[in-house]
Amino acid sequence: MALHGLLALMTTMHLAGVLCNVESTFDEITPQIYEPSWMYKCVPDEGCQRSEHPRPTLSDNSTSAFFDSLDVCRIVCGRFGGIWPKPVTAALSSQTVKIHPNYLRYDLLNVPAETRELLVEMTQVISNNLLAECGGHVTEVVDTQVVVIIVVKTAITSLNWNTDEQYMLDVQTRGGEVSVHIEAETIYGARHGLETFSQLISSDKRDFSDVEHCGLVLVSGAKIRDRPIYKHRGLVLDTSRHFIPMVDIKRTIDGMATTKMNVFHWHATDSHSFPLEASRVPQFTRYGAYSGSEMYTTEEIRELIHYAKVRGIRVVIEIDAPAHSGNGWQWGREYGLGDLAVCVNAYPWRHLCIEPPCGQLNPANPNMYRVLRNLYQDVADLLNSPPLLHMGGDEVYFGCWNSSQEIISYMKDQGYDTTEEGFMKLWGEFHNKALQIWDEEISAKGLDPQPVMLWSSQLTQAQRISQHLDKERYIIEVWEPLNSPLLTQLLRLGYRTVSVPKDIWYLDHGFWGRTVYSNWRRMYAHTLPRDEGVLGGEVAMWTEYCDAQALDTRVWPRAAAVAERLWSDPTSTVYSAEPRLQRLRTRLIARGLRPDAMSPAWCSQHDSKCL
Amino acid sequence: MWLQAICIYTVFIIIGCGIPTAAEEHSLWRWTCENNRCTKIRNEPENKEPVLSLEACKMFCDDYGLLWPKPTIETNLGNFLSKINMNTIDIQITKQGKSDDLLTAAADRFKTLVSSSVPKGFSAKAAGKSVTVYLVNDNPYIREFSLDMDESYELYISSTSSDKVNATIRGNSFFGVRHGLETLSQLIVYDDIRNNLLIVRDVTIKDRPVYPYRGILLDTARNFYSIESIKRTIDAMAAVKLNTFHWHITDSQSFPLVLQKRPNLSKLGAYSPTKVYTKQDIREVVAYGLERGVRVLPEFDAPAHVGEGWQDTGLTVCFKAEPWTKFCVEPPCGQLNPTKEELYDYLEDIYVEMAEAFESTDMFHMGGDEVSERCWNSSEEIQNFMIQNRWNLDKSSFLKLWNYFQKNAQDRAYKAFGKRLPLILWTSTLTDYTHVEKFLDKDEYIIQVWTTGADPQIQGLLQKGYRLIMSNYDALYFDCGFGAWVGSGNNWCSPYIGWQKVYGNSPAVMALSYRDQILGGEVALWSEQSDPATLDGRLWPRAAAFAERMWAEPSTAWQDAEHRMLHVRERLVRMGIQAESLEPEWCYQNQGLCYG
Repeated sequence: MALHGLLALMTTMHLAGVLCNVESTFDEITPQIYEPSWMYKCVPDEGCQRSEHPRPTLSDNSTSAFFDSLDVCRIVCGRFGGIWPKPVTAALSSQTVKIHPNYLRYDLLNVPAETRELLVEMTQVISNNLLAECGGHVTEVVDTQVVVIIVVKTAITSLNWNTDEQYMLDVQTRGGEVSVHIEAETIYGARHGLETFSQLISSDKRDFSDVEHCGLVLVSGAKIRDRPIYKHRGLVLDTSRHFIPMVDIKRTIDGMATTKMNVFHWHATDSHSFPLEASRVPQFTRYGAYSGSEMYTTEEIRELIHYAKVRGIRVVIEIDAPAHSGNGWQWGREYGLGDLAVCVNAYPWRHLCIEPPCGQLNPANPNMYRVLRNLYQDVADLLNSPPLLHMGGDEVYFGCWNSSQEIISYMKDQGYDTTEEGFMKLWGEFHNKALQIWDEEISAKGLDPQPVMLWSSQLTQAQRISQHLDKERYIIEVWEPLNSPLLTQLLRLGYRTVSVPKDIWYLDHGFWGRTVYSNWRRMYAHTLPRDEGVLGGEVAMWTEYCDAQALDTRVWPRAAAVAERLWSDPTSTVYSAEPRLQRLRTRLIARGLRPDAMSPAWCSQHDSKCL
Repeated sequence: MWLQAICIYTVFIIIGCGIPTAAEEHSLWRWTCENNRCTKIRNEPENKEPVLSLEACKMFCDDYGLLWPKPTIETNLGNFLSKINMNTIDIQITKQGKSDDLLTAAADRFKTLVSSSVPKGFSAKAAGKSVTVYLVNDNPYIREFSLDMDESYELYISSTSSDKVNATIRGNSFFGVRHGLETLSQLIVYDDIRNNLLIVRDVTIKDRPVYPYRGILLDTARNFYSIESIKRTIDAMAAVKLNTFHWHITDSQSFPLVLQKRPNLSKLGAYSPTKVYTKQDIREVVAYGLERGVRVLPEFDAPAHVGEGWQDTGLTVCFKAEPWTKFCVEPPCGQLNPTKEELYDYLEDIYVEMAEAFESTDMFHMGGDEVSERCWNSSEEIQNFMIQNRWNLDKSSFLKLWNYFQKNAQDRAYKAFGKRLPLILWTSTLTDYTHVEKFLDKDEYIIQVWTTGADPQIQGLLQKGYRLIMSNYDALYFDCGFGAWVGSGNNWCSPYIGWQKVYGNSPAVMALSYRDQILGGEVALWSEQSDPATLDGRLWPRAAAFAERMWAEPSTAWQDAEHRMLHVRERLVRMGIQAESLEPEWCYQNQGLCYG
């Protein structure tokens, strides 16, 4: 192998020599050949430290503690090695064994037949990720047999809050063979086990980007018991303020799978644009998409939902209503259906909505509900069972409804005053009608009524919520800032909640207005109440100021900090997590993501020296 | 009144385009210019008016069309757009001289820019008029950068026959003609309704920059950047007529610069053997910059901001000292030991090889920021040296020591570059206006200001006759606004600086009556929290806002530039630059309806 490396270097030298002859001054340049590169030592309580010199003089008893590759150092250094999010318990060997994907075999004999097909897809994702560690090509071939025996106890393939995600993972190396045991209740637990298994593996590539050599090493022994603390570990992505191409959404899903997040909350539509194709109502995209190429076809949506499922992620589609609806709903009159939405794109906008363009559904128009039903039917057709719909429900502006004579007379007919409480009734009525429609469409598919999600709002205030929203049916996503009592109040009233404190877990903050950027440490340090009613949390990527160009750097690695908070809810310090997060960052890069830089590279080569 | 004028305009556009009927290809939407804004309206089947795409509408809905930065002397875009065939663009270089190769390269770049004006997923029809571009360079022998180089140009477009458009660009140097080509590329827009390329047909533009120095600093020591990502940055700079890439190549964290005579510096100092810049790499960047009118300016930061790479030389003090907060601004610490004679031989070797690599530079940046008295004071050897010189160990004596270093380094720099080229230093305690003239000659040194724009140092230095480059951190440090990487909270210069503030940051306002001493400004991307993955987003499109301020020093505020700014962002993305988004796409499509 060393010979191979040397040959590669010689070829480079030769080429450089040819180039050098162009001008005489270049002749003096001899290509720098450095070997070996820096070495890294695992120092207890500190992490991986770069050697003082590229070729340290090693005494015999210290040899084992030095690694040629920082990435390899990290997978064995520290109690949890390079695993993110950190498992409940882990015992890892400090030794590694070389492996090659060609000699990796999955044994699925102890897996229910109904789930096998999906599990095969899951193993393929893991195998691809292992190849990605080496940039797609593992050049160092070793014939160590690696058998991954997977045991799944139930045939459940649906994803919801009751899905059992725990797993056990054991790795043993004996006599030139590695056996890996993964045991889980469901295939989703098994998938998490596979993900963790892949994080016990690293390329041994030194940082020579022009050297082809790359091998994989696996932590030779491991015993891991793991399960998540919170059931709902999500990421909201807004694809309306800016269109985000499918390929970028999928890459985001890849990052979520890497960090064991399990809910992709798709804020698919808003007043700005309607990119979601609905086969029953083609007008939505025709009138609402930014352009013919900035929309998601039914086929693409289906494919995405499956793509996510294979990665243990449930897709929640949000159709934000009655506010945050405008473009895509403006064709009613043209089709003889009256105004489906009011104050669409109205200007000046300040009293009619939170941000331009305005638009709110018209609850006085029965045709609006008919169109909404068609839309819900399409969404129900798309989502996996049990389907989870997010009904939006945030930032309703009464000024908008109040600007419509049609709505005011409707309210009069219903006996609602045009006071705040009257508009609240109208708003509550909308949600109950919408829920009824959803229930009917779900029941037409032979399914029991499902809970739906709703953003917190004026309507969900503690003194008001019970009059309008049934706690058995609505899960409230609380986005109030940290100092708001709402989350605690709703828990006391018995509502189930998902927490997204905007001043901590909003990824768009810090780039507009007076908002403050939340760094990963702050996001990590925030804890949620341990309460039956807290299903979990989400990190939110609103896209007013972000499109596919900046998506990765905004989301990663910060979303990973929230992922660990929700999976492990660790009591250890932020600082102790940093070396593992550095390792995760390089793993995300290997998997094709573009995470933001966290610190000078010097700091990642010298763990705990940049505090 | 306005509306009427606009109607006439738009009719002209259609005639100019030679489009038979508006309903040729049916689009659900069209744009129309009302009150200087392009309004998105339904394209009703019965509509008889011309159907304009967004970009075609914007071209005539603003005095400066879609140009960025806006021209400074004269801009007349006429009223006509003509359909052109991308495959029949011919470029004629009329005068012959030693910069012809550069002009040829600029012509090639122009063609690439034209093809990148077609958005992803579209392809332009190969039909329309042919275009001939005449490049007239009145001084074809000039190919050297200098602070007084002539970057002005004139651009004329007219249609000579029904199937031909002529464009003439005249300049006093390659640099001016090259800028003219950038402007010409911005006068070609894509019509996404009919899939045609359109050119503005009757144009007179006379243009020259307000400030001669318009730069971007990139720090390649805190994190390493590939040559490819540096070239990409230069590409984007050329598109907005920036002219200086200031390469902060080394720092205490790493030393990626490969030197033949002192190979240990990068061997020990680079993050890895491949994260280095060889002389060849740098020359490649320098040549790439020259073709794009961008000087590549080297910085060797000293005596502070050194560390990695120097560990075996014995020429540094307090390297990696702990606790670092006592000795430097960020880990790892390190400072050169100015008392060592051998140090200056080392520096000369570094400077010589930098002069060879950065072959076209007309200036040299010597760093000189954030020198820590405490670091030097921690060395007994330095203390002894000072005592031998009968200096105290007080603040003013350390300035003497620093000055001793700077004088010696300056001599070596002149020797290495073979000329007394202008030297640049960061503002520091040494450059304090109350005593700066004791240490630094105003004719030899240019001061780069990185304090706030309101700092009295600016007026103080100007009054003493110093020439300045503005990099006031409160508007031009693009690393601000993220999490602190040491300590807690967000980084020291938070919050994030929006493009509006960048645009509003006017050196003329800071300089008042000393405006002539302002050479220009520079955006800085310090890379503690940035690497090639984030590079584009940190710089762009904010650096474009800065570019217009530097080129035009407009008396107007960002509000007047907003719509052109949104477009330049789209242009950068089409060029392959991962620029940040400034507003929802809805705002781009519905001019003037956001944030009013």
